[in-house]
Amino acid sequence: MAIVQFEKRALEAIVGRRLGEADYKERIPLFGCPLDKMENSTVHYEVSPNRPDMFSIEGFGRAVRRFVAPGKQKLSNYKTEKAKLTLKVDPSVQQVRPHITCAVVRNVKITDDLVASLMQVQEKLHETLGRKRKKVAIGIHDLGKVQPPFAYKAVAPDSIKFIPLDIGRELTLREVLEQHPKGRAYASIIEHSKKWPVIVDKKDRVLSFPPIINGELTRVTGRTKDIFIDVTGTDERVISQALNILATSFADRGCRIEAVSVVEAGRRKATPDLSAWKMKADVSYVNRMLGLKLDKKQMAALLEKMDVGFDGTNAIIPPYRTDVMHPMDVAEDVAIAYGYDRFEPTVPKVPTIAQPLEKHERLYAIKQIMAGIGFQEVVCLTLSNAEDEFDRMNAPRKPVAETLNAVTPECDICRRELLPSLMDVLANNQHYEYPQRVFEAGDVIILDPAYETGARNVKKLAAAIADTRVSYEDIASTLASFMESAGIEYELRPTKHPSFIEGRAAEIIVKGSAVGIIGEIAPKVLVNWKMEMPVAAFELDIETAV
Amino acid sequence: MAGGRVELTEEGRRYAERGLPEKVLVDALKSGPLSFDEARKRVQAFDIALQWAKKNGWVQAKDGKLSLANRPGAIPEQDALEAVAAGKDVDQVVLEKLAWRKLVRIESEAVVETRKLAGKEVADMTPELIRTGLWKDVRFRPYDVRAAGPRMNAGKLHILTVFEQKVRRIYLDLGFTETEGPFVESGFWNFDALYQPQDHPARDLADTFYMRKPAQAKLPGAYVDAVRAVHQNGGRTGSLGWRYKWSEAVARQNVMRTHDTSVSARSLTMFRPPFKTFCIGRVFRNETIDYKHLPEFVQVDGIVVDKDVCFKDLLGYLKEFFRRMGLAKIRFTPSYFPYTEMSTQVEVYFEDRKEWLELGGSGIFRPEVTEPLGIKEPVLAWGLGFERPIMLRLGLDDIRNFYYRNDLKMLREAKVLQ
Repeated sequence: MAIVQFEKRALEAIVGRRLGEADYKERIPLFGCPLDKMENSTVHYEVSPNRPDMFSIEGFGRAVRRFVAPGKQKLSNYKTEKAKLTLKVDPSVQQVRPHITCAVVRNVKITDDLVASLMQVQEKLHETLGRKRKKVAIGIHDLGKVQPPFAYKAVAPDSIKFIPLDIGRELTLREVLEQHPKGRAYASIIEHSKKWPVIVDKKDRVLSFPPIINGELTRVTGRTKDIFIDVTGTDERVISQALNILATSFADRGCRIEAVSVVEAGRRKATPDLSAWKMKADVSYVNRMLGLKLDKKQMAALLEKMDVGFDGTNAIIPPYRTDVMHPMDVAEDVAIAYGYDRFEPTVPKVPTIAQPLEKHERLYAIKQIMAGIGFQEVVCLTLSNAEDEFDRMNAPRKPVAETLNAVTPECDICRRELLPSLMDVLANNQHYEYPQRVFEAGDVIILDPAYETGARNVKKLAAAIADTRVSYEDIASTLASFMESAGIEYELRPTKHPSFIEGRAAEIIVKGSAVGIIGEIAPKVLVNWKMEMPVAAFELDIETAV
Repeated sequence: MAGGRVELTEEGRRYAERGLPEKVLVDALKSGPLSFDEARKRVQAFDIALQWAKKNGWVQAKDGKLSLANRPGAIPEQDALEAVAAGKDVDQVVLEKLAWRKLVRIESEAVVETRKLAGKEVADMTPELIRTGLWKDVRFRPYDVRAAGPRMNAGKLHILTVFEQKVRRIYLDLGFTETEGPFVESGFWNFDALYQPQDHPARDLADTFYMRKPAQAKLPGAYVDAVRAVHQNGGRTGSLGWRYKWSEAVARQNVMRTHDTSVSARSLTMFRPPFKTFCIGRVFRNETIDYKHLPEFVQVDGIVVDKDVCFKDLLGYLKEFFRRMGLAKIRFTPSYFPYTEMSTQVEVYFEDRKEWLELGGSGIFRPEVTEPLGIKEPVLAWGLGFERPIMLRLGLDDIRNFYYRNDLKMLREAKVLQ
């Protein structure tokens, strides 16, 4: 979700009427944009990533105008004037940033509103559709400052110098990456390459060093009349979408959009393509998905509210929409226009027979036994760290499932035992009343090459008693009570375990195999957890034992 | 019986005066054998007398006559009875024998003390008061019955478990089948099968825990080609697809599952329509821990698969679920998920907070999700947050107290009856 921010005054100017509190708080969210916050003169909305066309105030206002208006609305129809300018694509860009698309915008009136809108839409498009400029980078230039034709080419990092925006001195491309804040931020996108992309004019002056920064030369100012837009990236379809979103926003402001002739390998292509396109949309399919009984006329009227045309079999999709890829997307537009608040929920009707998971039933029964014996259930994180899991338990480190990129270092492995979790709980609760009897019954992760992901969940039970006086017998009688109620026959076989006091630890044996451990926690372990109360505990693999 | 008291029973008093029946019998036989009839006439309680005299080896029966076999010296029971009558100390072994024969009554110190209470006001009701009938002779002191007793740290289930059982119960009542899946999940099931493009922001390292070990999963061969096709060009779904080159290597990367919807995706390959499944389980997000965020939390996912279900049915299932949760006021707003259309945010009105709160996402699975997994029918799907409603109900404002710190005071005092 991206948060966009608009001046209410500017938004209402585009919508063409005053918007009341109900419009902002109730109506607009029903378009799919939850209100993030509303201040005196500004509103903040969440726009979902499938509608990047609504990052701009022009696009947002266009959608809202139709959605809140009661009557008929004319569908958007965008015209592109014939290309006068040429941009030549040099094959050298193939290895670094292969695609470019451009447009010229004439008759621009630069206002504060326009500048604010341009900055917001550029930033949001870079972040979302552009995947932090990797897939899409946008440059907006004062066309009057440079001389066409333009060229898009890759050059050696030290072979060319220009003054980038916001730094006031001439730098080579390499120096831009090293010295300019934007250079440092986005260097990773191109630095692997031997040559880096630039857009230059007839006199070899640099308009832009995509995806890093534009030149100072073409900075848009209050006196700018005509604009040149370049969009570069790795995916031809996505850069076209970004350009269309920008071009239609300008067109909505009354600017004229003029095509640019992009010449690549001898082929000439006029960009942008602002024509609407078709997606199959069958009324009966839409009705079946939504549970409605619309006729063609009703569906056309609803789609019109979404700026989508309908010719009886196809939806006509405006050029700024990037999200329509299946007839189902058209059905969603119909649903939004109809109003999610107007759908009458039906009574559930699919007759099937319930089937609980035996494993979960059993786990719950086990929890009830433990609570009955007088233990408080705790629920701990699966994610842990080797210090807690092994070092503090005075136990050797064992193989565990490990995460690659945890932002919280204390959550970089998956626990394979529950006892460390219980020790953590007891250590964290030393200021509360004793005795403390706690248990957990839940999942741990063990590595298992036989399983499709290489690791699987195992359900375990662990219980611990902490008190001023607590003995092996206390925990042994807890285990005995549990095992009796669970109907498990077992025996205890003396063992040595570094987490337990020597001579006070045993393996829990069920049907000849060890399924758990029981004993008094070793003082060294208690000290490691900064605990001053003795603890006795057991842990049991429920899946093997039960 | 230190401190206790010994009393003769009525029978014991009689024998103390007249002699134990076996003594009377032996005395009668001193002057020669007697027939049974004769002996019975001369000795009261003859059967008891005969039983004990025989047992002690004092008499023998021959040709219908009883005669002395062994003349007893002292009879310790007789001496003891007389000693008790005289209020003297008596050997413990003999005393217990007499008690067993119900000739003496041994009263514990507790009974002795209880007898002293006759006519008085008492605090505690005791077994002695009941057994001796003395409860009739005492008055029970009235208590301040308005005072609450001190709280107990009883055994108790975690509130999360209580809540989970409630939710399970609702889904089972509605005829859903319970499912589960692994926490360590392949990118394939967590993302690709759900039509999330491989460069989707949700797959960024920032949000998702990727695994160093085990780093790679095996892919389910039966579905790989269809999933690849749907990403690249829409496959046979009529979709345009995401139009990029799909990579098996990326799909193989293991993650900590970011949602239970991975389990729903797996379910689509495991059941034949019509079916309904649900899964309550832990999900993971690579987030810094603070009062609002933990790297893991619980979600409940549900799907309904049948040939003629539609958007209205989706709303119906969600409405019914929340109604049974005691949250009757619910609304739906449009939202976005890469794997659903008519994507819907579920908002529930919390009366005490006077606020609409988002509790989860829902929608109808896109054909790009269902067709590659072999499902032709519409699939209603949702994934709902779990902790937030509990926290709101209990007035908790720090999620860490839940299952990060497991604050014992909070857990011990938590209200689990909703």
